[in-house]
Amino acid sequence: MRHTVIPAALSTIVLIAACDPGGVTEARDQLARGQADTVQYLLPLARDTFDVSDLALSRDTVIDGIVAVALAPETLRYPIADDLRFEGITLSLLSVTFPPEAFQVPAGTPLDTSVTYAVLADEPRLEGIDSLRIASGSLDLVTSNRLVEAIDYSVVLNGFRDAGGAPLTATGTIPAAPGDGSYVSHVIGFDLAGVTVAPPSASLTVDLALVVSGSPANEANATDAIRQTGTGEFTVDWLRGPLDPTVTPELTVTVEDDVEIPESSLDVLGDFRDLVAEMTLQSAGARISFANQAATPVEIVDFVIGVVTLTASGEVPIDPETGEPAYERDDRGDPIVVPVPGGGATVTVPRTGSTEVSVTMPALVDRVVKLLLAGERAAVVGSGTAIAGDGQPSTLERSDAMAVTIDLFVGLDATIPPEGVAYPPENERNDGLDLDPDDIADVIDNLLVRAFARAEVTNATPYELEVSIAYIEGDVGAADVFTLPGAVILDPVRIAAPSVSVEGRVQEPVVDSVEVAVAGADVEPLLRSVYTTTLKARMFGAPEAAGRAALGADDRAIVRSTVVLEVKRGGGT
Amino acid sequence: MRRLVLVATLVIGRAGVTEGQTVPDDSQAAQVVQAFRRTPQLRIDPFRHMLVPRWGVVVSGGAIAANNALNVSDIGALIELGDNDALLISDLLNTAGLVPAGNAAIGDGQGEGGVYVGGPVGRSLSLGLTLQGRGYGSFRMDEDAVAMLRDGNASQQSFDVGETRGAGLATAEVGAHAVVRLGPVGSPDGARVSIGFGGRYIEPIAYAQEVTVLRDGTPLYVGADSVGAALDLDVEHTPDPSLGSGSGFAGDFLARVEWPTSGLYFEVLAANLGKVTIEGVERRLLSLSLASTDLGEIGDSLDTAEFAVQDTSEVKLSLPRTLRLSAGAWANSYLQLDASLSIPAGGELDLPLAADLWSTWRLAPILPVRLGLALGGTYGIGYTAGIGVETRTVYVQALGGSFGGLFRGAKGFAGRFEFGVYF
Repeated sequence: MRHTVIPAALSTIVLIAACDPGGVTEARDQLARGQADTVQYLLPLARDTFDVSDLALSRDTVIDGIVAVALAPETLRYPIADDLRFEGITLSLLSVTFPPEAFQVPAGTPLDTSVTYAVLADEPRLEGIDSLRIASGSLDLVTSNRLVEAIDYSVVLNGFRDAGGAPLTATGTIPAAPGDGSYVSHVIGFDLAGVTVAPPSASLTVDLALVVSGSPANEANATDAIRQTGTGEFTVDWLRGPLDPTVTPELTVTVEDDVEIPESSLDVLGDFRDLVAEMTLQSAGARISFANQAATPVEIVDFVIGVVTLTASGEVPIDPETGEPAYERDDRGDPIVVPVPGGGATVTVPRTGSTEVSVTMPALVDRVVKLLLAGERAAVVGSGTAIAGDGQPSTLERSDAMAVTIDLFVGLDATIPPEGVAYPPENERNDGLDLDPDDIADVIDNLLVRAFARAEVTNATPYELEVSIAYIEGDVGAADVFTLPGAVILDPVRIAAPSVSVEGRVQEPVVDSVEVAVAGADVEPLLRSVYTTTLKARMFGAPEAAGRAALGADDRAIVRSTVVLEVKRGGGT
Repeated sequence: MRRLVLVATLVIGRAGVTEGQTVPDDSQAAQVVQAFRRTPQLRIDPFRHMLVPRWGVVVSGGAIAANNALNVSDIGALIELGDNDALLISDLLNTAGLVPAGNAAIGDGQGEGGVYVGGPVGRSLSLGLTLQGRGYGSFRMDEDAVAMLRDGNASQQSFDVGETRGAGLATAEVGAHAVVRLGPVGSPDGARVSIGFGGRYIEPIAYAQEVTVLRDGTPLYVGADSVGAALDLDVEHTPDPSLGSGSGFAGDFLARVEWPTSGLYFEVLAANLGKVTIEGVERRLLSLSLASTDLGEIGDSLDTAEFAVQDTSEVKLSLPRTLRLSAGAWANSYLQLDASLSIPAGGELDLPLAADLWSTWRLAPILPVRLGLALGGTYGIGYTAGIGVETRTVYVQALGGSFGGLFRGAKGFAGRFEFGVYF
């Protein structure tokens, strides 16, 4: 702050003493009386950072430290009990033998008997089931007679209860047999739909009634005079009990489903799309999540995922020779099928729980990506065997399903072609120094000793980088400055790749600085109010890794480009 | 100087040895007119006319100002270029280059003008009344802030502005001072001791101060692709300069020991010991928080930044205190040598450390001619000169100084004129 008195006095003195410096030129010389020196000023030119965010990825993730791009997850759905069918149900065989003296009675004497027996004793498949409800099915009870009298009978299926809770019952009459030892049968059919069965307590009570005819043939046929058995089949609504697939083979079901990977899911690759198309993906796979809706554990066995090209109508093509989906084949002609989780292992999914596994499947994902980039319709097909139950009390319902969500990811571990991969160009609108035309001419004509552009690159990517910069006065929007007349195009600079491990991972970032000369007149756009830069980068694989490199989560390249103006100061003009 | 040393040696050697007069009254030194033995100063001196043993009225005014970068021709050149609308970047860069490397850009000044009335009361007492206006000003741009423009941002991107400030104060003062003269001590040619004291009632007229502070101590960053600054520019000022804007009091003290017949004196002066309270000071704050990679945004922020009035309050300001040690010697009536060292002793407004060497030539006894050197300050070496008319009834003094060079090469000037009538 200046004092109110001093400036007046000083100004007076100065004005008197300074006199007229003799004109502008002399005045300029006067101010340049200081010691000759050069001074360097930095002006920003362009700045860009090549990192995950620059790739415009909406669902980036990290797999084992490698940046990966996840495609939109797709879900396969495997019903595991919607067709749980028990076929060939065989009821226990009942044989009724009368003692010979039972027939040594006067004709017309009634003979009654009643038998109760474990009707499902010969069905071990049902031993692990405490109860089940049948969705649909039937049971045929066959009762045979070799006596010469007709037999009236009634049956009660204890443990088989209808929707009202009553046991199933039926009556019938078995015609008289010829007496030669052969049997005559009568069949009672039961509709089991909606019937609840409790196998451990299932029994059948049959009441038999006949009138003795006095025929001597009966005494010869008294042994196994009446037989009863039956067969049936059904599908269930639900099962309860210590479900054990080793006891109940029906708990083991084959599953297969397919889902199309829509082309839109590849949009997550954004600007990286073209780059991926040029790369050979080497680190790609899937996070596969098995979600079990059943209140019983499920083991997934021999599960495989393959990729197919859907037909024009969206159907999975079938290989006529194998009857299986016509999977895409690799260069050796082998189907691109990936076991999950691989190595012969199985996936156990807890009751009403989920299990996630990650599987490397570069060939499969590479093929999916390439099919989509080529405009084809691609689908993944998952098939295998689901085994429900572990011997512990469980419940399995008809609606229970296993949802398998496949989240394909593309790990950026790639071999890029020898000519490199061009990163999409980036434009930057920059504010210049906004100097007056006189000052611009002053800087260029009088002050400037030399100018040079300096690109400082922190290269923490596993690639060599070639950076090209062009700039032009004004705001040209997204136009490629390199192609515009009047643009200043600087010589490209090449930054070495950091040393990489055998896995292609960066060991130590490279910080390098490269300078290229800038002609004095080319500085002018930076001195005006606005200029636009276009920065292009091309990546090359590190030679020692044969072009292969893996982009780690922390890998990035920061390019900071500045123009250094070296101007003179003092020393007269 | 050799004479000065010889006289000093004699004084020291004779101290306490004898009570008899050893220097005759007609010695060359004793022939010097005592009224004007105290050499006038270009700098602050509250006892300026108090040792003249006659009643009189003196009207005086003077100023001293300097900086460490620009000389008169430089300022003239800037005015010339400005008038012709021809100031270019190269001119500004060259101007910045005139600040000595590694130094801050600094400047300071003082000025005063007023009237003195006073004279002796009896043999041992002098009284004086003063009525004057006084001003102080100083500025300092921190060396880092200067370097930002002068040395570029290629080798350094972080800059401190910790010592960048400017301040100014104008006051009106009424002072009363007294000097008690004692002696001669021990013998007729013994030491004569003068003890001076007094005070000045001060009314501030105008005050302004600007201080630039780095918020949280974070330095300015002016990089190649980004600029970051967290600055508070704190401005205090009196919007309507006038009397009655506060008050203050300053005390001044003087101790002088003089051996007239030996032609030797030593003097200690302490001036401006006090504070002034300034009322109605408006405090404004400009807070700048810049962090951008876009120079346009920086420019827009600066364009839209405005000072915000914080409050209006009173400010207590310590005046710039000065401690001056002086010594002088004269062997006859023709030549007197004086040396003084002005030491800044605190206060809100910076005064420089400076040494003044004067030689007073009285080839014609009533027409002393003074030549001197000024060292220190912000400018290096300065040259001073003056001429006076010192008669029994008329007193005229004209002093001038050219600092850091001569005339158009000077980085500072000083001037003083005094006219008095004694009865």
